[in-house]
Amino acid sequence: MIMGLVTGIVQGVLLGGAYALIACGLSLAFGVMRLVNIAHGDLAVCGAYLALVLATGLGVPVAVTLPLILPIAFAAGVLLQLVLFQRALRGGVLAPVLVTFGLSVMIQNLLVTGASADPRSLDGGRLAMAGFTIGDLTLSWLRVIGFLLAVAVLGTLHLLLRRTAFGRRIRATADDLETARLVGIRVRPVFACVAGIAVATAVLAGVYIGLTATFDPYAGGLTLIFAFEAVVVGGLGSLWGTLLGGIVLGVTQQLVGLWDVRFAVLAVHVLFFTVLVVRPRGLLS
Amino acid sequence: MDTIKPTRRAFLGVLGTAALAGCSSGLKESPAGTSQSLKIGYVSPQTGPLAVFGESNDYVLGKVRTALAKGLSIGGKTYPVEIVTKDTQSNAARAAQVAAELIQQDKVDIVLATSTPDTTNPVSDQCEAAQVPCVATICPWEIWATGRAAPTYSYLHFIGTQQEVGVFAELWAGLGTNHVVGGLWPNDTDGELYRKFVTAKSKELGWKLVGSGAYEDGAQDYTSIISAFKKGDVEILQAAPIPPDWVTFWRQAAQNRFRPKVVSVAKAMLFPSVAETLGELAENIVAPVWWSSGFPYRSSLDGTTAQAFADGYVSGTGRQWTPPMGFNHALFEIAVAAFKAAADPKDRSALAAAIGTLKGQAISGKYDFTAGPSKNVSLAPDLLGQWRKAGSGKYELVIVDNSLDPAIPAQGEVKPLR
Amino acid sequence: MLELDRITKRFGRVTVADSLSLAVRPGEAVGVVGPNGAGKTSLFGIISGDLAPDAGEVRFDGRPVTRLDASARCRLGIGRTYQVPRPFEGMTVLENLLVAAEQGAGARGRAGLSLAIRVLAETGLTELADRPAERLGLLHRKRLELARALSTRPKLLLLDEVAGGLTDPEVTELVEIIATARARDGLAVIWIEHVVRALTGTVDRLLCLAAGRIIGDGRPEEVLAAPAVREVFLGTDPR
Ligand SMILES: Nc1ncnc2c1ncn2[C@@H]1O[C@H](COP(=O)(O)OP(=O)(O)OP(=O)(O)O)[C@@H](O)[C@H]1O
Ligand SMILES: [Mg+2]
Repeated sequence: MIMGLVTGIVQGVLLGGAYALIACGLSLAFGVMRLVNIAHGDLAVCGAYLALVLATGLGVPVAVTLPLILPIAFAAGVLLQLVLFQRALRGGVLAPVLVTFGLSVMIQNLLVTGASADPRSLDGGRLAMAGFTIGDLTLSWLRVIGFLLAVAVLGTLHLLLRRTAFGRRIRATADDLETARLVGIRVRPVFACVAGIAVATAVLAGVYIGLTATFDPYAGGLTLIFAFEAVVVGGLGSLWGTLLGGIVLGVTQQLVGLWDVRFAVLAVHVLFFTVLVVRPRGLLS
Repeated sequence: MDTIKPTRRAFLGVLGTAALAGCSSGLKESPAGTSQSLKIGYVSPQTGPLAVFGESNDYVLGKVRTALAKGLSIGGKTYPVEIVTKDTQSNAARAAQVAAELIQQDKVDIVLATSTPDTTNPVSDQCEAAQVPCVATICPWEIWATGRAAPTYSYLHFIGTQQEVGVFAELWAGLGTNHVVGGLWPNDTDGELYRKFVTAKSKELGWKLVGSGAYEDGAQDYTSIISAFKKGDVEILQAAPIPPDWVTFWRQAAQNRFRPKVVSVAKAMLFPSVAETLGELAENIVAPVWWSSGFPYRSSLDGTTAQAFADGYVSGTGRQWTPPMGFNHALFEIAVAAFKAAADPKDRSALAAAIGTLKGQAISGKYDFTAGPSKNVSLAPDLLGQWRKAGSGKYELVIVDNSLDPAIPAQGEVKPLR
Repeated sequence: MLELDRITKRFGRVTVADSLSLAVRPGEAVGVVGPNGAGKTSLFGIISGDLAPDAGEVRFDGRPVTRLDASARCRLGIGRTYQVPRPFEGMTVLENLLVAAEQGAGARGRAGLSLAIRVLAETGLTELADRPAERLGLLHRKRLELARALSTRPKLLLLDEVAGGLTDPEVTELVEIIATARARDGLAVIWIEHVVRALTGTVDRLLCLAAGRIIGDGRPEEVLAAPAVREVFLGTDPR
């Protein structure tokens, strides 16, 4: 019983890390630009496909493709911001939601045409299939790596935001767009960089999902829901809140799952709604 | 073999219907053909998540069209044969819609429906309502026959889940295990069915059962289920997930070091593409074989052997053959046999009645509509295979259990997973 | 250094600038008075780039800037405070100044830090350097508003009621801070204030604005004595 609980909590924390990894780009884009990016999950799935194509095409392990994929993702984010999001953000609250929804549908259809609806998955080699045991607890290396990756990404983003001039620019812009302009900040490049970072983290998460589970052109929707819930539960726009949100979701899912899997995912959604009603601004903030 | 949730299904159905209403008028073909040609309607999922079932359609239809190019001579009269195909887009509502179109606009003499309950059941229902003969396949007969009124015009030729669970159990019993069965069964029609029959079977055998609970299709995390299986010391795993979920589950099982002695996977491991995705992890997974290129049967239309039929597909497309090919071809063979057996092939009720008298052999093996487990059902035998890496480097399903049809040669011995 | 050429701006039926022209010389200190809703803050918006005029041109240092956004104008040397302070709430006082120094003044790295620290000292905020702006009281918010504008190292400083709501000694302190900055950098100031007392020690020219027009322009005491100005203040004595 106790052991079951411990297993559930540890697995839940690890799973939460994965949720946070997916969610942090969403959180960043919302926090800085007030952009609710419905296509976030689909961009992640694009990353997984890109990794698949490059890894099989070049005949290299998936991890090796990352130095190639992440800059591409960053550039794609910048481009999306400049040609799409920027305009949408000027059009009120609903416009970005509609535009990114359209983008989501478009990505899904392009992927179906280009890659068919067959479920795919990435081959992470030996390590991705391995686990290790501590006492009665068996853990997957991939899960542990995913959690560490999430913490590393969030930590890096944290340092970037808190300690650098670039980070100050982002925070000032996030805080008050008009005042940011008033003190001389060029807002457009800031937004473009943030969008680039957000898409790069999404794609990183997408590759990770590709290693742990399967993906198909429609997988982005489900991915988005969990990421969105992690962001809201943790507190809109707060990065550490997003990690906390992910962990709370993950642990809930695991513990309820141990009791009865039927309710595991449902419990996560119920938790989300409860937080939304009781603490609409999230756990942190 | 159900993958889509009802709400989404209904929603997409509405969209499909709306889209169709706009263009259906332009699709009518050869209005004069209704008089003396024989028209066969063929409904299958060609696009969407179930597309893999219909992937060999072009090839199968090509073979059938060639075989029937000269028409059918029945009672001294020669009837040209016309085949009209419809795509369900992997959606039950749309399947019903296209069946209605075949009946009302194309005025087909018989409707053939294949692949998953989402196709077979709505199409059969439409045919019953319109009193048009129908033959369906690739849906466990229990799902097709239960919850519907006793069929008159619609027929099904396929395997049954209870029978399949029976052969699974025989195979498990032959391997030295601790007799603890783990069940990975989702919250869908197939999951429910396997839960029911495997639970009953383990009770009968006095074996211990650890059920997964009815998880949702599309779940991304299986660690809690895996923990429960490990805790219960499961050595025999029976699973009926949708293919992507199986890949996710089985990988996470490896990561969390859950390694049972034998794994029987229904539905998810039918297709070589899933085995390729799993790679080494696919080795020795047990899956049902309802058709394979190794079947010693021939097409009743032109005598093509199963092997030649499969080889033709492989060389023509470069893809591996898939089990639905055989049964989809058999549907046309049964339709032709029915036309020949009917007093008047253009008389719908005579044609429907004729199907019920059929007993014969197709490229998929024997069929018998006179002595099924349920009205209008012909039960096909279910063999078991194990996925093994072949010399070609590809994974192939090797027949290891032929107890239900010893005429089909076994291709190897049962091996434990590791 | 600043020229407004026949600027017109309307919000629906309200005209906040009616073909308004104005020139400010380098180093000049101009006070602006006018009744509520006269269009004073809007005028600042037009100069700083927050508001686009319907017609007319804004020139700074001889070049037209009408089409430049607030960010570019800041970098050219136009600094501004808001009537209601708008600090970056989630950042500390020092960070507020740093970001202004780095972006507005182009002082990167060490230079930015020393500029920000100097402004902190000048505005008496040194002790509050690490306090998040959201935890400041009104006095300090107003100070921070001024300090942030100074950190962009402006050539023209737009002050919108920085003395409003402060006590006499606080006003005196504020006036001194501004005087120090002007003495060192020789910056020009346009200062909106209802409390004319705060202006008199600093400005050498006073504008009176009403309904989007300049109805008085000249030495403070002359403007305040003019009948047209007295009329708009009707009974309320601007002194
Ligand atoms: N964004 C806006 N939209 C519509 N009307 C506006 C807007 N901004 C200002 N106004 C209106 O324009 C007029 C001038 O406003 P402004 O703030 O410039 O006046 P002010 O002279 O600064 O007044 P106060 O002394 O109260 O600060 C007011 O009637 C105000 O309601
Ligand atoms: Mg004002």
